[in-house]
Amino acid sequence: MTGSSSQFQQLEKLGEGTYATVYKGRNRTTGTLVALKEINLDSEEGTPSTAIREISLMKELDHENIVSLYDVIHTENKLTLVFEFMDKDLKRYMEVYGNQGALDLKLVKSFMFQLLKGIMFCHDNRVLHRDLKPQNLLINNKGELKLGDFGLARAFGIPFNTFSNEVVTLWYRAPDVLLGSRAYTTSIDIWSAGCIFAEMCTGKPLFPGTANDDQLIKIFRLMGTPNERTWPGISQYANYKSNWQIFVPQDLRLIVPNLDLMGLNLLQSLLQMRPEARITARQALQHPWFHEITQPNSMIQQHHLADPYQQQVQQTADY
Amino acid sequence: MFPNSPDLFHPIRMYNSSLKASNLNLQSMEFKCHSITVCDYQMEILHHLLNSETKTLPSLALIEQQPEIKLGMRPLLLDFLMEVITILNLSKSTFPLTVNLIDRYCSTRIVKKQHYQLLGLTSLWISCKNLDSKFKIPTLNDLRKICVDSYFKDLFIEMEKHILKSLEWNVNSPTFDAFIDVFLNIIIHNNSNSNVSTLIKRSHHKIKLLATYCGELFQFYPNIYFDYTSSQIALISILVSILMLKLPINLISLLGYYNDILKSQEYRLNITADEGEEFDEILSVASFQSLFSKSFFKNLVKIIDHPPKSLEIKYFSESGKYTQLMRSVVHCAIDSLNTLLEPPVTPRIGSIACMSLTANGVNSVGTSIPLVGAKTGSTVLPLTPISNSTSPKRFSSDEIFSDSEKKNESSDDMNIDPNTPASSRGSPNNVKGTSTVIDAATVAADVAPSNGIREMNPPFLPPKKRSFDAVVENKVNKIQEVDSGNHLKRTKSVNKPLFFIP
Repeated sequence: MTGSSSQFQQLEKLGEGTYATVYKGRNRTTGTLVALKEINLDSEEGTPSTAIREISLMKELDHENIVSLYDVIHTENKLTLVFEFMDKDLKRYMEVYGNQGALDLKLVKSFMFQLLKGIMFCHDNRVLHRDLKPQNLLINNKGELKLGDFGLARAFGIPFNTFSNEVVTLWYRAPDVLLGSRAYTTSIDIWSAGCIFAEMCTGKPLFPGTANDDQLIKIFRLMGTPNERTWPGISQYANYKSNWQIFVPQDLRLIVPNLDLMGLNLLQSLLQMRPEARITARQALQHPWFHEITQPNSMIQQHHLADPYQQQVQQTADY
Repeated sequence: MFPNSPDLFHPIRMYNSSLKASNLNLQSMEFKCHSITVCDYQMEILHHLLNSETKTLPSLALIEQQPEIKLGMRPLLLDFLMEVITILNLSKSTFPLTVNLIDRYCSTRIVKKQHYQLLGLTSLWISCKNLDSKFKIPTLNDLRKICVDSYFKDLFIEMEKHILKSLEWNVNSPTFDAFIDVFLNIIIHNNSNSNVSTLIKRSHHKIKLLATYCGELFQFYPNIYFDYTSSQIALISILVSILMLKLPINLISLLGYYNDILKSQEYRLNITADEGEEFDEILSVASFQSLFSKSFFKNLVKIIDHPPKSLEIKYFSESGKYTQLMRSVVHCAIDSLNTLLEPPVTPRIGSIACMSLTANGVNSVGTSIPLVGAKTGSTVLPLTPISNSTSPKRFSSDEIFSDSEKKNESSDDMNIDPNTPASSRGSPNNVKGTSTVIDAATVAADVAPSNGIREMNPPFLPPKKRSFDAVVENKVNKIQEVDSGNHLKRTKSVNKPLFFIP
């Protein structure tokens, strides 16, 4: 960690975040491409807390599905993080290679598998990403997907801490957080993964809300309006309203028609309203939908299993 | 990011959140719901915490080479920082993380005396940025005011940069309270011994509060803090709390349970081949039992009721949220410690094997005092500065002057050395106390269940165990150049031959 900025040649701008600008860069000695994330230092604030968290957490997270941090260059008024270079983020990738944004199901499966592996590694290392969205998932030309931008990430404890509910871009924010929960844990990232899953299949964001309440209504419209019976204790939440419009749960097949039943089952497990009912990353990776990746030679194929999605639909219909 | 940013509703949500925070029903509901979720991760997290702990250890040997900073200044600085943390209402991990950053920085760079407080406040700033919500992070102006304009604002910025660079941005070291949480969580959700887990579950809050309090106390006392890692401090705190709360749990078997976790299938799954060294246990039985021979409980009974001022404010102030529970818990703790130290004439052969064991062990400390001379006293480590000595305000100036070494620095708040003869400062932790180590340890070994302990627990503290002799004198000035990779890494077996099974 002793690099100087002259070591890297700054190329075109790749993007602009809330607190940083990202440039493409080239290592002058080796010629390798890097991503340079430049953070301007405020003379009043010192090093931003986002940068402290991002760097210290990323130094702990060494995994094939998490972008590597090569170096930190700390100068008088600028902090530059040198990351491994990735060609595109998932949003851009879908725009370029998707069919109106929708990706091929084989690709979706591969990306979802890698996304969940990255999430599992974070959670195993007691890190919550807290800002999963297509813009923060980076893809290189080998088709590898990696989690990037740990600016909102933080370590969590056991049993758990309470955090700000000002996390995760609105569209990918879990309903419990929208309801005002500050005592969330790993399930917050899982909801985002579910939203991303659906978005990769359809090319459109699943819940493009405009504000907190609108976001909740958009979720209810699809998942059904929760009540004390379907979600005991929901009326205790700060943002609970007794006069919500009542929606019945929709069949996810209508929203994501191109996804097979096993995939729909996984999607359903990721998009559970109640945080404790949401599948964990480890469980999700063992989901039969991934068997062709995890057990490519196995004779066990999906068809011999009963269709769990049908059962689930049956259950939800009972509400 | 999009036009109707949720930030427009920020004030409303803040209000709602505070309403929600006061709703106990919801809290317990969410607690139940999430503890199930995180249980899935507890082994992975424990593994990760234990591993990253070894990478972020301070080195006492290097800290002792500091030309200007004396270990005795440390409790004063920590007392000040703890008070700041209490006033700013920061998270419980902020304090131990701050302490870790200070000590690690002192293990890599020479710090001038006049910059010690700056280092402390800046470390606090960094841990606060790392752990607390952005609304609680003090501004530069706040920091400047907190230290009563001792330092310019630029200095904080500069110091922050130094710290982050020197520690290579590894500012996320596991703190003892994280371990307390994991350990308690593991035992509560352990099904194999439902008796113990129900007992612990029932007094979970008390154990956690008392253990956290003990853990925070230990941060102040270099002779405990530097001998053990955070995970060990957490485990000691829990075991001692259970003992003090008089729960009928066999401490040695509980300790064994925790150590066995590292051998369990579930835990082993996380170990990858390239990680190199792995530990066999968190805290060895011998190491735990050595506490009984270090007049640990004698000191504990004194400090637990008279903590450093900052902890007194945090736990015992009139309006504090812990006060009531804390008073009853500490009352119980002192009661049981006193029973341990001065047991009834007939030794209790109780149903609780461990209680009687410790009672015997500690009792022997008491009786052995007159037998031992004070010869070794001057050569061992600075003793635990007992509560009274940590707050400068408690002493009249001539008491400070009585320490000849410090005469010319008496204006500086940071300058009370715990080496000062205890009597002059009312410290109960006197020279005789340490010298009793010899007999106590021998006797403790006698009552210890394992026969092997006598050999592996040499009762004598070697003179100048961590003195300057260890490192060549002329290296002192080149402390920055010392290869931190080799020196900072304090594995659990090196450096602590005294209390560890080789």
